[in-house]
Amino acid sequence: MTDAKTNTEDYLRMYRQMVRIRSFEDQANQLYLSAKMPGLTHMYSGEEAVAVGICEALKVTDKITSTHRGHGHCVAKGADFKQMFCELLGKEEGYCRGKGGSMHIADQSNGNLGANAIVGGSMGIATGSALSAKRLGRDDVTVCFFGDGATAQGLLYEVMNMAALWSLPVIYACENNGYSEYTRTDEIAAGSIVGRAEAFGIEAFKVDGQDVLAVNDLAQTLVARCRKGEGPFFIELETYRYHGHHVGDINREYYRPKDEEKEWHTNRDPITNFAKWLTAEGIVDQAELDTIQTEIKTDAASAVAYALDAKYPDVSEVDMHVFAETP
Amino acid sequence: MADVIMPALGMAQDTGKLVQWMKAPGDAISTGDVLFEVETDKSVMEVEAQADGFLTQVSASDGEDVPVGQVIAVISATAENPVAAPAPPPVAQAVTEVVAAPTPTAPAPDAVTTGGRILASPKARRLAAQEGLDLGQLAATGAPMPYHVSDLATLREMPAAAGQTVVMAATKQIMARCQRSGSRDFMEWMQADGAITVTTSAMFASFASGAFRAATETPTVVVQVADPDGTDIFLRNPDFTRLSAPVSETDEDATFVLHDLSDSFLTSLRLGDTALPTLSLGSDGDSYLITFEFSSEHMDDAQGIAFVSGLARRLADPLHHLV
Repeated sequence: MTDAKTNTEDYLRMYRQMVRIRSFEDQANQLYLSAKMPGLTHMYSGEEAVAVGICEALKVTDKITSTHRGHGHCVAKGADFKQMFCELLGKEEGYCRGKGGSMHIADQSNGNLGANAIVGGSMGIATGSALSAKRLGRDDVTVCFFGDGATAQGLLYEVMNMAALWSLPVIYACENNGYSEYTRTDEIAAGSIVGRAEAFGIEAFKVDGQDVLAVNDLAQTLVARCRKGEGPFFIELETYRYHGHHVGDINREYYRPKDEEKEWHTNRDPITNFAKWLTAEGIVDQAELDTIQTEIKTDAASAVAYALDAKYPDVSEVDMHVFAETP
Repeated sequence: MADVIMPALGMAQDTGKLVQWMKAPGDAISTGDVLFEVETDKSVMEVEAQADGFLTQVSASDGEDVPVGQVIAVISATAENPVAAPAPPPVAQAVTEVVAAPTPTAPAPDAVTTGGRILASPKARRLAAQEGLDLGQLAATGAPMPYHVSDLATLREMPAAAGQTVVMAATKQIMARCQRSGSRDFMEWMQADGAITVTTSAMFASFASGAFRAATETPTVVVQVADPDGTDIFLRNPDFTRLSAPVSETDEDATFVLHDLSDSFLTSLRLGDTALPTLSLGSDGDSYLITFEFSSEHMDDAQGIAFVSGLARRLADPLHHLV
């Protein structure tokens, strides 16, 4: 009975976190299109089960590194809406005091070492973080998120080699959403994605990235094995991005058919499918899920309103966090 | 009710050009309908409706540069107020603003010498010809070239010059005949050697595009392959595409029209419609008959002759095309 209760809480937390990501992205998309947000941004909508399934298997002290499509990772690792929106809008209360923005947001308090605008740019950082945990005798695990396109970066092969040689507690999580920017991934990646890791003797897994429970089960197992010193591991998560490569990529038919987008929206949505499962299993009823949705949407909207009114950093902060004095 | 905004679609974009509304004020709108086209510094994109309802309070018009983020219409539950009320006159400006910066001199009209030619997009030219409008009338007013479809609205408003009748440029014809054997051998060879089936239409489009480019130095050639039973297809630079590769279709305005009559009883078309240069290719026994209609609006005589000669040479000996 206690177990069922605990599970129910875990399930609802996963549902809530996925809805939080979707709501965050809906707001961020509107902020960008209505010219209230600087820079450029990339939507995570559609891939929620990947970030949530994995991050729900981690402790606060575990680390992640994120990507240019990183809002989902940041939310899933425990970040707060207000500070995130403040960061996106360049405000003082943002996680990086407004200096990072969408593509460089980092939330050290929750173990998010940061997004990275460079494709595959965080692979070295994640591997270094795992090395540091091992050297310091901590049982922290690091998860390195990157996309299918990033498998073309040479850095991945350098760090997988090192991580395998030194049995580092790192999990390479490849979010394969089928498209490397505007090109189908099967047109740019020869052979199998998991085969790349297996070449280094790294155990590699492929999982349905739209199934939050399947992702979470696998992540729980691999995180536990990492803590025992059995790392590294590699996961390929099959997923889909609903929006374009970036927010301005609104006419996509020249590289991605509308029918395909519709198929994923209708039949493979991670939130809808998890809601169906939760209600079919009698864990919650639809009304409860609707309440959660409404609460979170309200939360997101009020966080946006807060961030729009928040203050920009003072000009004196321009060199803050740029230089560190060494003792 | 949902605001329709001029979206920011890229970095460092201050305005978007509203190319044209695809829906009229008051139209019923469904989510996903294309509302308008916007041109950024990168490309022209279609913006879809995010809500169901009616297009109302439209406050920006075709061709206008609109700051990104600005509301340009509202999708509402009823079709009332299709067009936005004019903005109220500004209240008294702060005194400091009265000290206005010196008025910048209006930029001089483009001093580009057009040599008497009227610069206009192919689409504007075609529509003007169809409607019997004279672009020269617009040029006479000093309106800056090149002209686009949006300029035709001005032209339609203008009273036709007294006693003036719109004279269509005279249709000119060039005809040629060449042996079919070269092309037939070429198609058989493609089939036998590479198992590549080349259709006559694809071959004609490719050769004609190449010949047209060589004769007129047009950077982008769009061939409209006429299909009497279906929809015409538009091929962009077909001479740059390998004959074995899939055709690359486009919705750009056509440079010229191609009628492939080789598989029909017709041998030649002389329809006298000079909106676009028109090429027809028919067969007569062992020969291909080439008929080309154009007007001085499209090219000069020497270019027309060079085009038809080049095409005949390519058809007679396809190696001319390949090398």
